[in-house]
Amino acid sequence: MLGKQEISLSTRIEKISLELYAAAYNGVKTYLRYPMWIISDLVASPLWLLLFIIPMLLFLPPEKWGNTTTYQYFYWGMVFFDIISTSLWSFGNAIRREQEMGTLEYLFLSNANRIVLFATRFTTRLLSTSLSIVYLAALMWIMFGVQITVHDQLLLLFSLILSLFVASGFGALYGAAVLKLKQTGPLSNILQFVLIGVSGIFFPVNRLPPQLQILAYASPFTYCIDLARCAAINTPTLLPLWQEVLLVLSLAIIMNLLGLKALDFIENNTKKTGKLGAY
Amino acid sequence: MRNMLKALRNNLLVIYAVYIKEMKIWLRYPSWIFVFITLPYTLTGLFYGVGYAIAGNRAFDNFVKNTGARNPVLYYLLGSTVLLLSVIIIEDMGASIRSEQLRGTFELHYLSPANKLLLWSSYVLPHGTVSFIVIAATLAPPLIWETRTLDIVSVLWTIVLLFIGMLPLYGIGLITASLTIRFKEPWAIINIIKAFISVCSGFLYPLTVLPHWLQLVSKTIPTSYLAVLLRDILIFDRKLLLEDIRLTALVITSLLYLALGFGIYLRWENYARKTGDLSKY
Repeated sequence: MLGKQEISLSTRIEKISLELYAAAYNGVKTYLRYPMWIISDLVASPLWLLLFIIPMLLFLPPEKWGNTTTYQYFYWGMVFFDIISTSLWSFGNAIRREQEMGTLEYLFLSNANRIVLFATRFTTRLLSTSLSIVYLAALMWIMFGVQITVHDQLLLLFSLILSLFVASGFGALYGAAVLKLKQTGPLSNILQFVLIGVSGIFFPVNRLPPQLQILAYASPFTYCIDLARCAAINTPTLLPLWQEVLLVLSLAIIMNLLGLKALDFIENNTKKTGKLGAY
Repeated sequence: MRNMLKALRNNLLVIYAVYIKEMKIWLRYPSWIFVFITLPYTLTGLFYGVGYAIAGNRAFDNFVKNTGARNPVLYYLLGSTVLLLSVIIIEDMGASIRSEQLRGTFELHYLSPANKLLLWSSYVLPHGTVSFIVIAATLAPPLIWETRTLDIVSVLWTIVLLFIGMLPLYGIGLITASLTIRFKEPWAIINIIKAFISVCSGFLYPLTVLPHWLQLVSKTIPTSYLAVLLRDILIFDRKLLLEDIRLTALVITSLLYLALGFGIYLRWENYARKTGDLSKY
């Protein structure tokens, strides 16, 4: 075909690796450029943690406030709170930020794979989430005297990485909506708390009312947190373990493919209608 | 006398102009007002839902024992609404100046003969209007549901308390505005201030659950008195008396924070004018 060049598989892999490297380099550089943000997160995190945990503890009798299992649930809940926020605010709104900085059109003019848009944020969030996991565990020990233990380290690592991929896929789908709708700040706020509520990040979803359980089973994050909790505190899983691992793995792949397809569709659509640069 | 009247008229015009401009911007994105009304409900649902899931059937009884309040929904709705508004006011002063800087209109204000302190202070009025709308819209449904009628004195006290409670937040807002002029991107520090005020104010829990040293710190935060007084009126149906020591503490600490905010702002603005930092960002 005229103008179309055949590229070998190795060259294609080399090209995408280079793009991913550039995106990751960009992400790390941007993250480290603002050390005050990292310090601010370290100082403010224990305070936000208190603000979220105390209102929930008020439903327990004071003698149970020292219950280790409750804090383990809260700890993994806070980690997944971070992952869900990442999905909407970091991946989903990556497009919005590029729009505001005036760099979106340049990215879309280049022949780089669209996944680089998210790879930059993915690297930053990987750094930030890893830091949060260690830091929150230290805080739990200092503030509540609770030692966070992990039942199956390998499964936990696997489930956390897959959860970040699911978050990036969900973020790509949401990013497509952002590209179309432009101003989605209000939607992100509401969606974030709805997802946190129905995905059972602080408690097993089988404790939800039956009507809400239907919504819970539709949320991809339900299975991510369920698997992570099983790996960390050895809680029973919703599905047999191997099926749940397979489901989360499939979700990670399918959601990313769907996200990229949706992004591609909206990009082409906005290019045709001339709305790519309008915001 | 004529000069004084002219100055008063000019100052009122500044307040009017800022009010109209900011309300226009607010109404341009009405979806944000919708979020401010729904967010306290989502937070309340989250706390109540998780509390019920971890405590089971005894959840409500435990809550009553720990807080003394018999209506967790109203308790959290009130707390999260005041929390949300406090965060908005603290952020907004700095954010307003930063957006003026980014739009390139910040220096233009300094070319005008308007009083700068009054100019930046006027931002609190439109945000105050939106705050009152949000509080009324958020709290009306649970109050109507409970078929509770608040007497006019309680309603007036609520408005007066909210007004006094906004003064220290406005003072902190002025400090964040100073930080914006001085450091341009002060979000990291603002994030810490917001978290600190939110935790020490006890918007979502009685302060007695905090460690003793943190309870002492919270006595220096005006919003901690605001939260307790508002709960007394709206949740516990108590009558507020003028000689209430908590009311005096609220007024004194509010005025102190306001004076501190004005002091820091004037000092840093002066410094920025002298060093030419005003137009650097």
